[in-house]
Amino acid sequence: MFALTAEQIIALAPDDASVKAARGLARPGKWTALGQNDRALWGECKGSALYQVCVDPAEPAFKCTCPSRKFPCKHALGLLLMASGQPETVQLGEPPDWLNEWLAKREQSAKRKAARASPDADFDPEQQAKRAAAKDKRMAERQRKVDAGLEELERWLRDLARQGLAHAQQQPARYWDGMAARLVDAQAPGLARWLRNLASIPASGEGWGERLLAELGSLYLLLEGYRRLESLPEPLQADIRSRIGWNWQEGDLPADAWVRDRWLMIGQRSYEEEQLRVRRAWLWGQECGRLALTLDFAYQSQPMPPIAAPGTWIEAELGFFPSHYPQRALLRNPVLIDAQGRPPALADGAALLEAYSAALALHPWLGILPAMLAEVTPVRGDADRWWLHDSAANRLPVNPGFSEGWRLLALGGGTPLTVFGEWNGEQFWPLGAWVKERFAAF
Amino acid sequence: MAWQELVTCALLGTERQAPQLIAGENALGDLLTRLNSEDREGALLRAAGTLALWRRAGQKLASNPRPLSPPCPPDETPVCGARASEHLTLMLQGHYAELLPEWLTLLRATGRRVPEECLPALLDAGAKQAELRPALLPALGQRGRWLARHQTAWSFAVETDDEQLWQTGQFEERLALLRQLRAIQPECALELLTATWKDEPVRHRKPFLQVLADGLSMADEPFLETVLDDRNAEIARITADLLARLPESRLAQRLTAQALALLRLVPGKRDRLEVSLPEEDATLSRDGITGSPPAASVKLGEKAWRLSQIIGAIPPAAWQQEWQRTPAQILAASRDNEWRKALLEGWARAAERHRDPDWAEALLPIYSDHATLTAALAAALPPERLEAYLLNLMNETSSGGRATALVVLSHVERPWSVALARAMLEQVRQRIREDKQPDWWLASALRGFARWIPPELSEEAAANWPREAKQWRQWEKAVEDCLDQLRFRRKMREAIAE
Repeated sequence: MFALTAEQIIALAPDDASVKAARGLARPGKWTALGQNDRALWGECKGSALYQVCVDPAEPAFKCTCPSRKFPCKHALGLLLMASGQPETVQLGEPPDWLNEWLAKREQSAKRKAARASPDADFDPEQQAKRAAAKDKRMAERQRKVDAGLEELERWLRDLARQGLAHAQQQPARYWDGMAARLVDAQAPGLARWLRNLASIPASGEGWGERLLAELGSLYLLLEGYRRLESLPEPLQADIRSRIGWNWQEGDLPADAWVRDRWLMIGQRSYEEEQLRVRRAWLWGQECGRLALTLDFAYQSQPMPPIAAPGTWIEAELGFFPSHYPQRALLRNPVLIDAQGRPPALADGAALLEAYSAALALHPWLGILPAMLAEVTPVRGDADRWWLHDSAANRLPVNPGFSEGWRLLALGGGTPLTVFGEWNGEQFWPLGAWVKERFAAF
Repeated sequence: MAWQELVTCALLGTERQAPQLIAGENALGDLLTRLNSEDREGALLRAAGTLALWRRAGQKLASNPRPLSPPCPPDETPVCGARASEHLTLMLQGHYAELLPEWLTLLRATGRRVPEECLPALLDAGAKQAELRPALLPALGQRGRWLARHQTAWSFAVETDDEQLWQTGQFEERLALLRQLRAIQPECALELLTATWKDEPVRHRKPFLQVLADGLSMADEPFLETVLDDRNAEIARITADLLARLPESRLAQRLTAQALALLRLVPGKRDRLEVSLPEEDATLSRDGITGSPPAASVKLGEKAWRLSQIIGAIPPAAWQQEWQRTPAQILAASRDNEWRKALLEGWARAAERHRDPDWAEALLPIYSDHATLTAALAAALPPERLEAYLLNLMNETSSGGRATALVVLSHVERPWSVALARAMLEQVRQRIREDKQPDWWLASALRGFARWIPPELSEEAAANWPREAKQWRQWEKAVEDCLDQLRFRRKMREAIAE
């Protein structure tokens, strides 16, 4: 029943120090009361006290009585590593009471969550009305703030256009940061992020002027769209609101947004943005054939929620955010499973650009298009830049932030590969590749 | 073009210039003409957004500037299994890294290859640690060598023209080449070195010369005999040392004749030795026999030191032949000799240098409290004789002898037999039971021991540790590390065989 590999377990760890500590704990001598059944693994670990550790490897979910703020802690990781490396040490057995308590608690909270998600739940109608009223009030308040923030942004943009980009280039960093901060206050975090990204363009070398103008124009069109939001088709309204920074909560998604399927975890990428660590994960549905993006965030020292490793399959529900080009999704009730398959691939770079422009026609502010590309060969160009050469003798630039060019080259050995990755309109970021039937993640 | 005009206008600002929208006869043109040009800022930004999107949606890819370089020919060798490749990834990330050479050697024996995506990390490891290369190079396969040609740091893995590299390479590359070549074709290495010897700077001569110690044979003798005259004393000394290891070299013959003239066995009920001490002599100096001991720790006079060096240089078997006595009998005959210290040290050196197991075995009991010398002598024994000696020593009652056995064992860097490994583990358990403080060297050596214990013992090795002993907490980490390594080795072997 237990199928996680050491590599997948290490991918769950919040940092290297945890892996090291966990490795030291993955020894039978450190444990008592070890056991497993079809739902969980458990054991008691001798640290400075005796800690009770339980892991549900399917989700995966963790619980440990130690005081560590890291999650999962070294004890939970140690237990997993031991079960993976020395399965004979963790025998099938009867779970102790504390494990049953944990499982029962998790079941309850899962039920509560489900109840909250379904409107038919047996709730006190008065209570519900009160809650709805409070929510409406909060939303109206936010709406007011956003409207004011956007008006200010429009004035700021028009001033910029009047004074000229050359004038903006002379401005100090606070010129951009100040506007971004005011947008944060106006509860428009999406626009604030956009503004911060703009700040680096004036110093980005040749062609900065046209790059900046393109972004400012796109931003202005978003504001215009927002001003006459009511006249636009509903999915496009949702896209504009998302771009500004409205987010969807699990409970707010309509029931038909949820898609149950077997999903292949096809690519992951983590990076830092301001004080935040961001993890993007792409999933492909075997039945529905859709590609979904889940995002997780964590503050610097805080743990990322655990996630299935690239190349593995889960059975789960994904709730897609309403959009003209649905992509972002929330993940619900995942369970690791075994399955086969992979998404169909685009024939060449031209097909990618065609798919990209079709997507832009639906969602003009689309950031990234996920794509499978058939028959591309990684090539190292001048100045350590990497390219993907396609079967039609054209080439796609690889994002300069991608640091695994050598592994990609090694994988193909100069012959074409099928590659999955993100196209941002200018560059490709490979996240996974197939050689024959074998998958490798980047 | 409309876009460039717009960019120019935007750079200057609309207060200096009104945006000129040049609209073509198409849908985009229609759209642009509908923008209100009285609102200069709005028109500029709207047009910019529209045109940028139009350009973004309509972009074309650049074509390849040059044809692709030839791909790696297909390799039909199967890749190692998923679990084995997981182990490799762990080692390349620095976990259990010291077991990497063993893993690579095991893999080679299975006829499989390293997964392609691990090759860059493997090549990086080889670029950083030259000592990994002997095990690493054969594991790279066709794909690895193909890949190495794309990155200068990986050039160590690229097949080269030996001759040319030797003539034009950097010192480190040349040294690595000489070592590599010496291991497979010793006479080719000698040929390269002989050809350029005269032009090599002194600082390079020394390390090059030391390479010849591997695969040394009489083929090297004529060259070495000429190097004896090198003006650099250090180089002459190394050369004399190399020549002394060749019993048939002219140097060994000269010194043997000298030695036999200095010592005389007087037979009797109890044999005895008569010793005369060598005087200073130009031939002796040329053969590397010096007058002053190199370190103050050698407590011998000038002449006794010379005697000790001569005995230490020549093959000790010469004495058996000359006197028809066993090494033990000869040692007994030297018992009351005034110069015994010089004699013993000479013989010990000779047994070590000429790897003479009979002499080593005879000398070992005399030096059993002298751990490093014991280790040096033990290295002269073939595996089965060494093992018998160690097992014997570990069963001794004196704790000095048992401690020596562990020291000697720590120098035996090859797989141990089951019996030897068991005895070693029991020794360590015993030391913990006796409440011994962890000997610092033993604690750090334990981890290394895991490399030589037969992995099939891993479960047995984990049992019966005196976890209740007072000192256990001090030992725990070292013992657990050792057991952890051992377990990983077992897993690694199982996975590679899958």
